[in-house]
Amino acid sequence: MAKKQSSLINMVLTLFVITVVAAVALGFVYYFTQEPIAQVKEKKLNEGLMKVLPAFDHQVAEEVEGVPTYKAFDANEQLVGTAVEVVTDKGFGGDVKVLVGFDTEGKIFGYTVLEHKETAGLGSKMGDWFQEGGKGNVIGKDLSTPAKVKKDGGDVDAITAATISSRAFCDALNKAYATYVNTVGSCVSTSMVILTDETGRCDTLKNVETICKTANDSFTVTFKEEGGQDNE
Amino acid sequence: MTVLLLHLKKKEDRTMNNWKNFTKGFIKENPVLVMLLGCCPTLGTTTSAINGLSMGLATTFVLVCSNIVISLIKNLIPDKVRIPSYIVVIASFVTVIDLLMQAYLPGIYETLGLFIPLIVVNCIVLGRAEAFASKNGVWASCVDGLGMGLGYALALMILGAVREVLGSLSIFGWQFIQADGILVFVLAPGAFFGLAYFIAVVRRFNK
Repeated sequence: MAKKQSSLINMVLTLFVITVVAAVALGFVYYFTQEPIAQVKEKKLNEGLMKVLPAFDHQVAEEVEGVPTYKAFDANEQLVGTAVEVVTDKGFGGDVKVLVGFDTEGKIFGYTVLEHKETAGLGSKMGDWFQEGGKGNVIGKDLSTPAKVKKDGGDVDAITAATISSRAFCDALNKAYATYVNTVGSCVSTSMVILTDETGRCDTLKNVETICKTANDSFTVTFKEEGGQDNE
Repeated sequence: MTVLLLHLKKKEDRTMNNWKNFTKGFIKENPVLVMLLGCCPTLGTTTSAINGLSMGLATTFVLVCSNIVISLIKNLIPDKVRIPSYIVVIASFVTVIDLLMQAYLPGIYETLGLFIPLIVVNCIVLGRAEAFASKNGVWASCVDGLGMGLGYALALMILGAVREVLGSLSIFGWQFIQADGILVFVLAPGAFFGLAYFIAVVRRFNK
């Protein structure tokens, strides 16, 4: 069979046919791998959540200002922990994606590094280094004072020879905590709440146990006896 | 009788040729050690033996498939648009292996993910398409792709193994001494050192 001439119509037709065939073939492969890929991703996420949260029955995923968060509940619909999936661009080799789990008191329960491009043998140690038993253990840490490496005046032991990766990790923790506070809110124990409106009139709520700032900037007040709730 | 002998001789020649096509990729025309093609993934992915090997095997898959398809359609493609046509074929196979790895080899995909799409622009694949598959038959092209790919995979695996042993004191993920290795071998400069010595050694014995 003779080689085709390079006439305009031949070239256009050939390229058209090749791209159409390639597109159809890719469509098929995509169609058949779509489900396994989704399964792999879900499995990975679930394994991650199991690692960073206390034992839970089911989880609810939601996005808080574009950051995926997962609230975990036990069988009695009681919140047992919240996990936040954060990305920081401060890594040595690029973005670092970390899943950080908080218990109900806002302390770090666990973390797992989902994606990173840090140097193998140095920054890549971050998956174990900051775990319980690791040299830079951050588990149980309260992040109301932001995490910082020792070099920057904080109390987190940085990975030897990978300070930048460690800084990125601290940045991820702090970002996760900021989102956590936005989602779950922070609670303060108090006995009385004073409410004011724009005109300056005051009202007081007594017998208060806690006041919590929740997502979308509203406050939830819990009372001691009646157990009622009030939103402002 | 002579016809039969001639026929046998021809067959033998063809087998010899195929064998040559297959083996030339390992030492004599090794893509990365002799032709210095595809250095970017070579330097980037050989931080460990298993990474190098998986990258090499992924490239082999693309190389064999694209060589077969290109040798099949070589007469249907006008000369002036052959490069874009080859690129479309190669890119399709790369996307296929990218999706397959995501679905069935998520562990390896995690470490190599960044480099898989780059197989499209790996000079070896386009180089073999242009230099071999577009001039030879299907079977010969398939053998050539397999030989070249495996030669590439072998070179990457050895380089990865050397860097892993020196840099992390482990081999195929098995740590034989619990200590820190010579870190520079895991980093980019180590890739250049390793590759340079590797090429020097191969050249010494390739004369």
